This record gives sequence, structure tokens and C-alpha cells, in this order.
Amino acid sequence: MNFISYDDAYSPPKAVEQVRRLIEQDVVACLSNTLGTPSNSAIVKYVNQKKVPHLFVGSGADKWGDYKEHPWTIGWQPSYRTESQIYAQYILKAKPEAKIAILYQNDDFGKDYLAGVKDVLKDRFDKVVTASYEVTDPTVDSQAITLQNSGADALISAATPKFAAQIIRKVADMNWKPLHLLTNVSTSVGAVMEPAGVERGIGVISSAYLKDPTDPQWKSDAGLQHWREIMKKYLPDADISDSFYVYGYAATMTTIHTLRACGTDFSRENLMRQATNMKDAEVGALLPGIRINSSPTNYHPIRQVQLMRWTGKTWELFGDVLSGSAV
Amino acid sequence: MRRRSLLTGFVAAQFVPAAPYIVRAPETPGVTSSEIRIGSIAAYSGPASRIAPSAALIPPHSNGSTIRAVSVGAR
Repeated sequence: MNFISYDDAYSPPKAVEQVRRLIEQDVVACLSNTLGTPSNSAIVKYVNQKKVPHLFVGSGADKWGDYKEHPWTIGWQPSYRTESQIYAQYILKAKPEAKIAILYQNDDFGKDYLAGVKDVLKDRFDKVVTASYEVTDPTVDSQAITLQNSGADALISAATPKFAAQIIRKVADMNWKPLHLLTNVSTSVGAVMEPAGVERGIGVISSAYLKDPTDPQWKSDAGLQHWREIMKKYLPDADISDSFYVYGYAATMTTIHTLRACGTDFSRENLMRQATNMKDAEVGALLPGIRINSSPTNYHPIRQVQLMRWTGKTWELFGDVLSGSAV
Repeated sequence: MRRRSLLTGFVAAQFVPAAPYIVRAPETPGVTSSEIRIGSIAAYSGPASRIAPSAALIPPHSNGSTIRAVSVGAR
């Protein structure tokens, strides 16, 4: 296998240029885990026009599951919408009478969280109070004040790391004590919890679908052993506490699962057929109980997460593996 | 940004059950008698380069078939 990965610098025009190069000059059989919502949004139409398998997109945007609009593009990780559905379900269970507030980034990412809560609450969504921010805003302090003043006692924060740190800090400083659920995009200890203040975030809930390489419970885990061997052998100087390496491994193993399923037929049609017909596929880096499933009408291969709570020192998994709604 | 580097070591082929016989037809795009080409893009530079490690990792394999992982613009 010749795996060719080009730098797009997270620039949509550059992404288009590089993907055209991959398809027209390098003539790749398929694309795998192309990274980032803006980049994938820029290339998805072209890739589908060319009928090139666009496998296991590296983005949680829900739209990668739109098999009718993009039949050659399939997502991978739990979508933000799925995650949000699970958060809403959890709030209803843990605090049935809760008044829910949502802080969201005013883009596809943030709006997926609104959609997920709507999926679960339906008509009751009218009672939810929301506040948005732009990525160019300096802070979300004013939004936090607005949401607190609404009387909400449950908060979903669909905020990227900088703003997630701000909302955690502000909520604590205001002595507001909502049931606080945080997008799993922003669970980095170094980028979010420490800047927020590790004590301020105690009790915040988020979710995971991959094993955290720093979690002691996976120290001798067979599922991560292959990953550890690879890291030791081929990237000995890499920071193995960086969970993005686990992400890359798990996504790649999903592609390899697809290639194996192809048998001897690596045509683009068969690559897509196998990618969209996975049944309970297992990847060792996924949390126990989380399986990969796809079908011609399910382009969201991972639809499960497990909740976790910030203790002040680490994220602690709790409860069962949960699934989003089938919408 | 366009620096080309070979990520040596990401070489092998766990997935290939019978590498010499993988070709279904000569006209299959991206597939030859000895190679399957797979493409990707990632932010190896710029503000989102923090997440680039996720694209840098191709599991190695051990059955003697060849996987060659090339990353352009890698760190």
C-alpha cells in the first residue's frame, strides 16, 4: 500500500488543490480519513463527482452520514449530533426537570449540537435557552451570564478548546453549578482543563469512544498493545500521551478492515461496498463495547460513546456505552 | 509546507492476504500488480497542525508485502 498524505494547512482551497492532485496525478484508489470539517466540505462535491471512495472522514460533522447527497463519502467517528443526542438523553435521565442551556459555536460544528438536542427533546426544545458565539469573539463571558440568568440548571457547551476553557472558568467564577456537559472535542487536559483551572472543571461531563493512552486502566490492555508496539518501533520520539495518535491508528485500522473485506477486488465500487457493509467490526483502540457498523443507509460507522467525568486530575469513565438516536 | 519526506518504517501489509494476486483488472484506478495507492490530506502546517499526528500513523505489518507510507509536508 502506498499511502500518500499531503499538507492542506487546514485551508479549503489548498485541500481542493491537493485532493485533485491525489485523484488526477497520483490516481489513488480511494481517500482515507481526510482531516477537518472545512477541508472535507471543500472537497466532498468534487470527490463524489469523480466517484472516488472518500472513506472515514476525519470530522465529526453529521453531514458525512448523508448517503443520499454524498454516496461516495462515509464518516467514521461519532457525529457531534449523535454525541449531543446522548447528552440530552443523559440530562433527561439524571435531571428530568432540568432547564437546559446550550452554548454553541455559530457554525456547522455548533449547530450539530442543537440538532442533536432537538432530536431528543422534540417540541420541548422550545424551552431550551441558547447562546452562540463566533470563533472571532474574544470571550464567551457575556453568553455565560445570559445563560445563567435564564435559570438554567443544565448546560451543554459546544465550544472549541479556547472557548471551552473560558466557559468552564466563567461558570465556576459565577458560582453557577449546572449539570455541565462538554463536547468531546474539548477534553484536552493541556488545552482546556488546565487553562480553565483543573479545580474549576470538577464534575464536568464529556464522552469518549477511544481509549485514552494515559489512562492507567489501559496500561496492559491488549487492544492498545498493537498501537504501543507501532509507536515504539516507528515513532519512538513521539508523545504517546497524545491521543491523536490513537485516533489515527483506529481510523487506519478501519480502512484496513475494509481492504481486507475487499478480497481481491480493489475496485472503487467494491471499496465503497465494503466500507458501507461493516458488521460489528472491532478495533482495539475503541472502548470496550463500541463496534463499527455501517450499511448502505448508515454512513455513521461509530454511533456509541461512553460518558466520563472530570475529577480534577483526570477524566473518569462511567456508566454503560451509550448510543445516539437513529435519525 | 511542501517538503517531501518518507515516513520510513510505516511499511508492511497486514491487510493484504495475497499481495501478488491483488489486482482484479489492469484498469482498476490506483491498483497495480504491486501497489494500492491511498490518499489523504491533513494539516501538517498552520493553526490546526496540532491534530496532524492523526494522519501520520499507518500501522505496519509483517507478512513481507510492501506498504510504503509517504507523507508530504510532514513535520
